[in-house]
Amino acid sequence: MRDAFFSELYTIFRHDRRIVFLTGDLGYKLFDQLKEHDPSRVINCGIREAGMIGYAAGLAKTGLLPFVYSITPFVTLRCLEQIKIDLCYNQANVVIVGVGGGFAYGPNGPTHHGIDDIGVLSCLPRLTIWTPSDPHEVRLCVRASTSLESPAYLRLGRNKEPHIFDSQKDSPDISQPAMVREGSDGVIITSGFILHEVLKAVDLLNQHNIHPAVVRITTLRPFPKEYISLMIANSKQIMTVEEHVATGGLGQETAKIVAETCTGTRFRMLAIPLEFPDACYDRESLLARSGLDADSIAAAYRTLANKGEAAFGGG
Amino acid sequence: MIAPQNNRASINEFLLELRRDIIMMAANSAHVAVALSCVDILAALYADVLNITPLTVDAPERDRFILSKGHGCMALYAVLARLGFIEHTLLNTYGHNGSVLAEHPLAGKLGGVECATGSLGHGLAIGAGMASGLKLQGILARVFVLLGDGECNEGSVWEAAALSRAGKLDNLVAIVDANGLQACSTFEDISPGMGLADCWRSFGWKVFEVDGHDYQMLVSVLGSAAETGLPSAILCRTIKGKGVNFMEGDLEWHYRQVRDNDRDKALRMLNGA
Repeated sequence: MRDAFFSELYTIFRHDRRIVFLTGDLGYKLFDQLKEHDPSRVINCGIREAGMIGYAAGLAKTGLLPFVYSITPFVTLRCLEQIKIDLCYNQANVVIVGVGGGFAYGPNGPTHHGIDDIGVLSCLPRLTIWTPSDPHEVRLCVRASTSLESPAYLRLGRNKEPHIFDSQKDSPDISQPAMVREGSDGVIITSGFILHEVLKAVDLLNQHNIHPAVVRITTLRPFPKEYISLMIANSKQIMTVEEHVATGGLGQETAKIVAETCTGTRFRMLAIPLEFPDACYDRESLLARSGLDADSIAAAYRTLANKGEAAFGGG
Repeated sequence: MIAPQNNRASINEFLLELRRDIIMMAANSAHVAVALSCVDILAALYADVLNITPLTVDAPERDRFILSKGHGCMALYAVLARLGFIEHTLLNTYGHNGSVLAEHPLAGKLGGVECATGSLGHGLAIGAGMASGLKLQGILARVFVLLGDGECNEGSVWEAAALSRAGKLDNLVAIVDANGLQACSTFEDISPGMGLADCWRSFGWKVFEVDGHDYQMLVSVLGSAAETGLPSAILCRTIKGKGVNFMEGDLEWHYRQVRDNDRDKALRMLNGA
């Protein structure tokens, strides 16, 4: 996803002179191509994330379109108030790019995990939040940046995330939720590159003759309330899966609609527990320990689906 | 600049008018001494330095000003009103429900207010980005940012200072309203031994030190600061509460509202009675 971001950014950077790339001293060699094309529009701000966001706001206020880049926690929580006031309140259209969302930086430890970014940023009015699920969707988000009318946050994984969408055949609309798998046994709603784990889980469920649909949300804020309400109204069970803590995330937002619509839809939310890991783990292990690997997702969904059968069978 | 204020008597009357406006507004809010501390600087900027008029608040080539110490906004509102950027009667609504004049500048409400401020330590980085954006687009405009000395407690000020030097932003001027008093203590108590002039110098800035109540000196230094090839910091030595003797240098008037006897006394003083 990281390579897709830089490759697509380079494509638009060459034609759109409003674009300025700012980095918090991260992305070694990744922005060389931009720099060769126009060094004046590439600024290494140093390890000064708060200053970088304010600087980007100022650039935007003169009509430019800055992209600010760093590792997720540093470019979100570290400079939260600058995002709130300088970008959201003052209406400066800047694209914040966080690399390593979720547990992507697993063994680097909790300082580098980006598992609370969405919840915290969701408190801010006017901020668009994009959580693409594969490299192709990253490119679509970058393209959409040029017609933004608000600041935006783009949550990347790291690299080597597999493709889900075929860049030749598929042109998913990132502004709307999309059904990635059809199914007749309820729905799994997810967001971001944990979609890969969800699809693996669905393969396991299919072996047990359970066929949930899978919906992915790429534009998480503003939240697609209407679409999700319809999903809830037409499904006997819904499960959400996110690589994020429950607070402020996809699951809570969905739960709110479940509660408000009173359709009797069974609901389960899978999210990262609110605790710090006790040791060093890679992403795979952290997902498993959080109940977010394919096996755990499949098991949780089976339980949810079976509850329904028991209820119907038992009367 | 609106109207070069060359006549000493008219300048003094202009500055007294602004102070009377501030006293009237301060019936509803804290920060009267803050506004009195920086009002001469703002007057000099808008009347005699900034390339901006009420008709050019959106012109790309206008000079930009950011009141990073947003709590000094009564001074800004008074200056904007006296120079025709906003209706003078608007000052009567200051701090009222539904007013565009809040106790810290709101976003997108007034021509001449480039951005909302109020949380300290934000303005210089935004100003630096503006200065950089103007340079990138070949626009010869300057950016002035007014900070408090207390505001220089914020680490983000120094992030912005370093960024500005790295960006060679010689069109950026930081003005520090150095009155030596913070909200609850003196600057020296909070940051013992921290010489602000040396700090800015060590970040590679050109530094000027002036009497922040000497109008002609302010005009002269502010007007030429963006011609040094470096970002410039102007340390303005000021008196918090300047012009109203019972407020001068008294911490209490950072917060205290100006009502009844205090208001009458202050106005009498500013009327020369």
